[in-house]
Amino acid sequence: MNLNPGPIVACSTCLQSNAGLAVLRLSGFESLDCLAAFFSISIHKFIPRKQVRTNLLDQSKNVLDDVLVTFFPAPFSFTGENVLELSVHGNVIHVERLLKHLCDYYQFTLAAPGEFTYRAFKNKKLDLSQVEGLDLLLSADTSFVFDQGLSQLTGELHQLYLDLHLSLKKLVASIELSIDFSDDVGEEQASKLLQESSAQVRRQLASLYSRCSAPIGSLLEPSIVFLGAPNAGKSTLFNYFVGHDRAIISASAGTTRDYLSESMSFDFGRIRLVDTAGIRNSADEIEQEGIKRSKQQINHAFVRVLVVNPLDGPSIDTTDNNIDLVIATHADQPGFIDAFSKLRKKHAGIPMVLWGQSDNVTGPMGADLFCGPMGAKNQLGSIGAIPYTNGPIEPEIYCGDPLRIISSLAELKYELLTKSSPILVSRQRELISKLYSEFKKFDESLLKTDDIAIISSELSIILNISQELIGVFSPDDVLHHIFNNFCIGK
Amino acid sequence: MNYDVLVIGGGHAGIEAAHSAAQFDLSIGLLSMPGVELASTPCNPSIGGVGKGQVVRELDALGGIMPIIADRAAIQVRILNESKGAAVQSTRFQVDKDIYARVAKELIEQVPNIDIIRDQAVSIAKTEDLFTVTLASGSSLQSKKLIVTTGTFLAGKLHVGDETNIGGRHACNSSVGLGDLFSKVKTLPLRFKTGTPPRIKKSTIDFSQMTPQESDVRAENFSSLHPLRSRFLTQVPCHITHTNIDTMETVRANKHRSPMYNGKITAVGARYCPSLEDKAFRYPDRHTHHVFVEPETLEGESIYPNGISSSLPKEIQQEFLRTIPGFEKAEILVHGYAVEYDVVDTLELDQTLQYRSIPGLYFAGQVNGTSGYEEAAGQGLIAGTNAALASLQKAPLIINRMDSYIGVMIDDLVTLKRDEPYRLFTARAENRLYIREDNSIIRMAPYRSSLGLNSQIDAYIARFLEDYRLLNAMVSSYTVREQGNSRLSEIICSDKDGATNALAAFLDKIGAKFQPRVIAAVAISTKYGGYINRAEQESARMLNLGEKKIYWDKVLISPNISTECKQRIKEHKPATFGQLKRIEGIRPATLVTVASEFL
Repeated sequence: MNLNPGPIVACSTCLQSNAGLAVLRLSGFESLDCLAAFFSISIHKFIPRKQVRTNLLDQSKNVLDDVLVTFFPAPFSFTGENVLELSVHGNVIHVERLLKHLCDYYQFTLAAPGEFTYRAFKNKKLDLSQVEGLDLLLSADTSFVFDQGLSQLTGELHQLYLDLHLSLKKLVASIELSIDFSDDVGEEQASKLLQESSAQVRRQLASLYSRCSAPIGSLLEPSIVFLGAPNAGKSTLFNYFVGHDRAIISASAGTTRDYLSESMSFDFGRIRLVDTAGIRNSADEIEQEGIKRSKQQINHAFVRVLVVNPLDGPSIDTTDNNIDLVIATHADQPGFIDAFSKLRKKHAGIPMVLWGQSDNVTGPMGADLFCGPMGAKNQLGSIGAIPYTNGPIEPEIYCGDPLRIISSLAELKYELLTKSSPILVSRQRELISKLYSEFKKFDESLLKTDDIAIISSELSIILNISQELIGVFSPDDVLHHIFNNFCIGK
Repeated sequence: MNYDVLVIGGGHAGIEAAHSAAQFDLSIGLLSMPGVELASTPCNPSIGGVGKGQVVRELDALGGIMPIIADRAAIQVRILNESKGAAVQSTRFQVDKDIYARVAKELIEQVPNIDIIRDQAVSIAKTEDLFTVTLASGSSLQSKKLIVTTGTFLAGKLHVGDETNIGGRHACNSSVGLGDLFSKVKTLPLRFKTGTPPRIKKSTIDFSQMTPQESDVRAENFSSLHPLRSRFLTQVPCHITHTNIDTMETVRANKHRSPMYNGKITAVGARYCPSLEDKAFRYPDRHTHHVFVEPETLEGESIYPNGISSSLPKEIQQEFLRTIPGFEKAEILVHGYAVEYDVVDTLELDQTLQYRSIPGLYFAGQVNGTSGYEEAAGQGLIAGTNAALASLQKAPLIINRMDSYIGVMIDDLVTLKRDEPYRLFTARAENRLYIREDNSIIRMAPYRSSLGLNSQIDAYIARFLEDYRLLNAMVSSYTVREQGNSRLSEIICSDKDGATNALAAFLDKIGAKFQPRVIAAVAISTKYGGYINRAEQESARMLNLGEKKIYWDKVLISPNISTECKQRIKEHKPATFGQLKRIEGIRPATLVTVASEFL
């Protein structure tokens, strides 16, 4: 990463609309002296890490704003450089004016994405895993992700990695000891050391690996995705959940060509609700692209809801997707029961919710199929569910609001996934998994062969991976990847 | 006198340098102090050992003389690490030190173009392309190339308790006069230290209390030109005894009288070769340490108790010695002593061991801060050969660290900053599975043949290579019908008697004749092949990073690297990330910074 060495500035609070406050962060200026003309009070009144109140002045000494300023002298700042934080009035146009002023008259440049963090990393205020932690924390949608980011930032997780690396080094040392110095220490002690240190690595790796085995691809940006054949009613459901007519509904298949998403708050955090394009073979290029994007959404979904109109005949092949819930629409239509029983066979074991769109509560279906009748008061018509005891959800929750059914499902899934406090950063997960499997091979070779040279050769491969984990050897593309994922001002 | 190459110092580095330079029909001078034997073994009288055995076999394949002398002087031989796999298995020969020196002298005297000059250098000057060495006798020598192998004699100082003498060894002078030359040569800011144990009179030792270690008939001679296993001398056992709490408490009670621990010696000894004092004070809870009781000669009375080197006062040496089983009535012939000496800063040398800013001047051996006769001989061969090649204006001989311990050592010496004496360990080699004793001929053959020489060893190598290729082709293509058409290579790798035995048995059965060394080299190479490939693949990515160029002068400007690391970078001038990584004392954080900012 090649960035300019000079002073940088950015607005560090999110500012897409006007707000009470915005915080500007300035880093890397030589001394406060060069900013003296910017403040109405003398720079000698600035006390490190204490807020002071001052006016900001333009070149003609006109007041630009009335602000609170905190000065963090190097190296005791986030970036390790001189840092100023200005709490200014949060008007979008005003903030832009201030930024421009700093760039025009004080040689500041606007910070590139991730540049503050990059400087902190360069100045050893953060290590690689802490940078990854900060990334997690700042982009967290759920409190679990935030907490793990914090744990990495405060170094707990990183400490575990360092401990593992240290144990591996001990193991390497014990092997080298037995090769080069067995005369000095004796065979017995050398082999005891080897056993002890390999047991310790085994323990540490097993504990870290158990935190990498749960699939978490979906946990970072959790989403509930509606999928299904065209015109099954996904957008109708989406609108119902979102509460307004976000998606265009029509009776013609293929109305939704791209996916739509809305953020919804749950107890554990925010979840995106995604309405996808109906999956079908289409000649329409735009629709094909929409289907392609929808498939990506489906692959990364946290909760997958299959929406089916049983009356449409054989639905799309969904065996590849792990479906969490099936919603059968058109429950009020004639012929539904027969069609539905086929559907039940096809998706045996998956909880189901029935959905009808009209006020036709008596409908063709027997009342016994419904656990809880969704009376006519419900403006969207009949909604109900079948008690299905094989699923992860207790039958009674089917009786309520369908929103609750889905949110309970999401919450259960969330708890299940976070119980093992999985490690979230995929670079770290991959390295730990690789370490785990390589160490298993090493363990086997330890049993199989007396050839300690071979054993040590296998081990040195493992040590290289662990060096990557603690961030000593990161091919530069990893670094680029990490820093490019930041947004401005972090 | 006028020489093409003049070697100062007649130790293991010096004779190897003179001998290898002499192969090129140049006139060679070997200047050695009067009264000091050639190739003497003032420390423990053994050649080889873990990692070092490989060096001796590399010397064999490169035409060196150490393997020949060692074979002819061997009185007890062992195979070390035998149970741990062929890659780390090494040969070690105990030698009769008198016979060793005698054979060395014979061999050097036999070389018609080597003059042995018994005198001491007092000053050295360089004019144009000629070195002039003034001798104590008043005469002077001139030479185009100069190789300095003065061992511990550079400003050497001996310590026994409170006594201090000038000298590089017991009963020897120090090369004080050489100080002149070194006004322009950079030495390390700290002095190194080494030591020896007291020598004990054999007839006063009770061997019945010790565990004997017999000579191993299976060990192979070092020189390819000698019969595989037959010995030149009678074989005698070595013995093992141990220190105990009384020994260690005696040492501990006399801390104030130890030059190493009362502040009199500030020089640095090797961590891997601790004196008895080091053992006593660094490991206060341990009282039992091995003592290897090694005869220094077949006939003589002198015994070398390996493991208890000490510079304590003479009476304390006597006192602690008598606490050790078998030494209760031991009489000391020569007391133990420590010697401290100046060391050349080898970062100033290039890969041929030439001092970069004084072309034509080479350094080899302990003067470069290494310990061990084998390390010295390895450097002697490199310096001697290259001095000769340079005077003939031929391309230098540079040996890669990926295929030899000599290469590992030279590369480490000229790129790593050292703060203790350097000894070869197998752990220093990245390519340990490949750098073995069994394949030394294969590994060194390209280097030897690049010299364009034609002696006995060259003929041996040519034959060996031919047989090796033939057998290798056979092993990789042959399938055995009686064993379900399995490949011969797979069969020998999975045989529980070991690959070498399995291949030998198979060849025996089909009546194919190959010499045992070729069989071993093919069998072991076959066995390790897969592992070597895997290690190469896995490290390719790291190596990629390692080969990336860095501009060390730019790194020095970075505000993000500690002053200490900058100091080291400045000294080493690393050209690649890999070299930076190998600098001792470079912090992981510095590597991260360099990786992120400069690659």
